[in-house]
Amino acid sequence: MAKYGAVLTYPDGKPFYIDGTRPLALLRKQSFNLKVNDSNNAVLSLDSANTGNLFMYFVFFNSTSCSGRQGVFDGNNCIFAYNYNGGYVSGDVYVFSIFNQPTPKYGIAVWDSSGNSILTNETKVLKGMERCPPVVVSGARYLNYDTGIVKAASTLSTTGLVTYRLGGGGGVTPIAQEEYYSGCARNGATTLLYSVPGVVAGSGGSVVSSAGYGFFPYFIDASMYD
Amino acid sequence: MAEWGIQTWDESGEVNNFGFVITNVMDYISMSANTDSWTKSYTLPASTVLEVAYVATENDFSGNRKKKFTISGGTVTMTTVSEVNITGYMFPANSGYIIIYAKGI
Repeated sequence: MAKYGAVLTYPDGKPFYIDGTRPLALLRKQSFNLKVNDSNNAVLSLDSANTGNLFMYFVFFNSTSCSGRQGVFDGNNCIFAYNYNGGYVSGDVYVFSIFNQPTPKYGIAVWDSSGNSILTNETKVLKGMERCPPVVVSGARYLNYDTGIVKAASTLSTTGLVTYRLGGGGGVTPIAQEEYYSGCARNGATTLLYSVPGVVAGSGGSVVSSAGYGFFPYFIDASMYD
Repeated sequence: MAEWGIQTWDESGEVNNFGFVITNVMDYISMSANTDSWTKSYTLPASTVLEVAYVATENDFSGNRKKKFTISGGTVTMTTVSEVNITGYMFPANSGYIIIYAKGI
């Protein structure tokens, strides 16, 4: 609590802002449309990974055949995006971070003790973040959750690995593996969270093992930030 | 008109107050996949509870390793477990950021 000044509170006494904290806020929204390579993936390079700054990426894909994971490539935080149908992978990424806010021409702003503007009435703060409810994990295809939101966007990660034994007689039986990734795309009227293979490699084979890693993404109502 | 608190408008008279809501990040920490245990205490603001979010920045964990976070008052503790089923604040043990934030109750 501040030593002096004014405090804005909700009717039950909860403060609007807590001294010493910083809000996660929308840094930018970025649309992407990338051609996938021969491995059916594309790299969406976003922000430097060497600054120590926190970046939280929420992604909406334009198709349920698309998926991805967060990673680092050439010193940048990035999204490794996949489309198991090949072609292009497209959608929107909402980048949230903690950063000094531009001061609006008029309105309200909060500064920290160093004189940094950290929150204004125009700050697009992260709000309404939910986590996909964890369920009993059985195999790589476990993630299938209807958010009930028209346009949601979610965090991404690897979700599992399926190993196949492919057909063919004699000699060493060939093995194929499909890595699964999470995705978030419109399915009818609402947005679905799902896990799908980045590349289909085991067609016609028999499943030897299907491991789920237990990743359950966070998601937001992306339409608030469009 | 806001039910309570404050409201602001732009030069056209359109409401433009988006910022003043409870999203209070107390701390964020970069944690490697190999970090097996961790704990830290925070001074918890009145009428709030701590919550934890975890953002993977790499795909570098192995097996069923999970980072499991427990919260007791203002103290957050992480242990490494080997679990298949997920409960509570449990995440694949990838490198990433822990975000500790205060949420109003």
